[in-house]
Amino acid sequence: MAAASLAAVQAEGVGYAYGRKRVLDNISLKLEEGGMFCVLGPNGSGKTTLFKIFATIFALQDGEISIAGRSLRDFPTPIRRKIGVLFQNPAVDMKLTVRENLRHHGHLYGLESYDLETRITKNLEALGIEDRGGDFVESLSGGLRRRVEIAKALLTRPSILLMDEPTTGLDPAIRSELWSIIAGIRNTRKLSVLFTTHLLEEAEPADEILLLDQGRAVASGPVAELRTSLGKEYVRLGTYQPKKLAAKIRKEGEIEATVEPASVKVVPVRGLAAPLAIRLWRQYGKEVTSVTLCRPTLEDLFMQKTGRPWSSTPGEI
Amino acid sequence: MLKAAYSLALREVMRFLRQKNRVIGALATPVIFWFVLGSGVGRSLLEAGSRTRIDYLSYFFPGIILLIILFTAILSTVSIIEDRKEGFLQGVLVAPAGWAAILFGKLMGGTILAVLQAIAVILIAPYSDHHPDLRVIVSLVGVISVLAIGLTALGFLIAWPMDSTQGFHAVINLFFVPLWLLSGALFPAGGAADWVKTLMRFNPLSYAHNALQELLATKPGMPLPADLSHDISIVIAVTLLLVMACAFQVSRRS
Repeated sequence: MAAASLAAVQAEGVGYAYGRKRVLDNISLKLEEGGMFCVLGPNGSGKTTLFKIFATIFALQDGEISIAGRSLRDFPTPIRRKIGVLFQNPAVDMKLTVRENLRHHGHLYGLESYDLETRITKNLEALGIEDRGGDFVESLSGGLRRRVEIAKALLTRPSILLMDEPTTGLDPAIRSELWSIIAGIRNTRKLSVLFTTHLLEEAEPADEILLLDQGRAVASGPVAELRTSLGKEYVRLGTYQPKKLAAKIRKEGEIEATVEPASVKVVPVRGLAAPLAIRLWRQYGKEVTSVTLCRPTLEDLFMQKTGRPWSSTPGEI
Repeated sequence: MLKAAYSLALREVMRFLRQKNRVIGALATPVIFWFVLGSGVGRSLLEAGSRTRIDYLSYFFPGIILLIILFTAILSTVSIIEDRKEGFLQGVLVAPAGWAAILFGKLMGGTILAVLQAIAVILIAPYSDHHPDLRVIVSLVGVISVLAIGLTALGFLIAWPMDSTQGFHAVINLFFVPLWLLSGALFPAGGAADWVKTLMRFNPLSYAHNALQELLATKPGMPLPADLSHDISIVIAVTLLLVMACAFQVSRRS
């Protein structure tokens, strides 16, 4: 295989339908070896379906996928040995202890005795839960349970980690703790990561993202590039009367003003956003509750590509 | 694959033993049922076709062993629905061992639990006026094992496509209870109406019940009943069919 195609996961034209309902259409992506790839999309965009295809749970219908250099269609079983999977819902047995869960998981992959026990200990240590080995999983907090899941997914030393909305149901503090744990693991071993999320901020650390909406890819590429493609910095004015304020600002000319929920987005046609922010604050101070200087975010990207704000579900607007 | 199946079976047994209420429920319910119904009906039932009055406690005993196996099979397969809902199953499905491990793990787990409980109940056989010797007990365990595999497979077949435990219980009440009622567990075929007799003849559990009844009636030193092999071969054949149906169902990927 040529060096240029060193991909941990590569998908070309993947499509999927539940009966007649098409939920994924022509999705292509490439996760470089050792890289981190994020499939970002609002709820119902098809992320989990795509994840389940990668995880070998759903059969591949249209398109081609290769994982660790093998075709998913032809070699699902060898691929299973290469991937570690972290599901959106917990996949641990609450009635078993942490160690028992890991031991059981090891057995499913044909690991046993000394090798397995050593691996379990190492993985528990790596995740900082070595003192919880004998505890029943049901007695652990949500964050600790998630760590058990990660320890479990990494027990078989996969080269690719697949995660479906890994921080679902966790509070923000635990969420960022989880991401730093994953970053720590990536420092110590070669691991390619592909994950899905509906949280914009979680997509930021990824090398590349694929923005998914209603089963279609609306944008893809490195986060920084996508941002640059969106153009300039802008000013967001918080206000109770966005329509009125936007109309006033538009009259000035050489300035674009877009109405958003409880705010107006102002983009200078010429010049920089920072001085504009100060001028707007001075000029419209009475009508404005806040002035924010913004760089285009993934949220803006989504808005630009789909015409809907990130938080809305299809059909709401 | 075997290691994986064994691990899944072990998990089943551990989960069962850790839920004390399940252990008590699974064992005590049939035994209380047997004791109350058996003592209540007492000697008022005349065995069909004969003039000897028999004690219902004694008649009902094989039926209770059957009920225990049925209960265990149901309880151990309802966990498939729970595993699916709680998410545990998805982790198993993406393992290289795959569906075969799940199927055989569940069947083994259910069978081990059923056999252990049935043995516990056989220990009180002398109170039901049955006196099995070692040879009979070994044969009983054999029949019970095959029966347990079959019933667990039946439960598996029903539970696999389901997504709610309530739905499962509804089907169970409709399906398993009549199977048990018409197996000879509660009444012999001899005195029943013709249509019931016909139903009983087509009920594979009747043959299982018959095998258990005849084995238990074998007094120490007596030869094993002659028509036993006929009953057992029917039970084995049906069990094989059910296991194959399970394999077919599980091996189809969504």
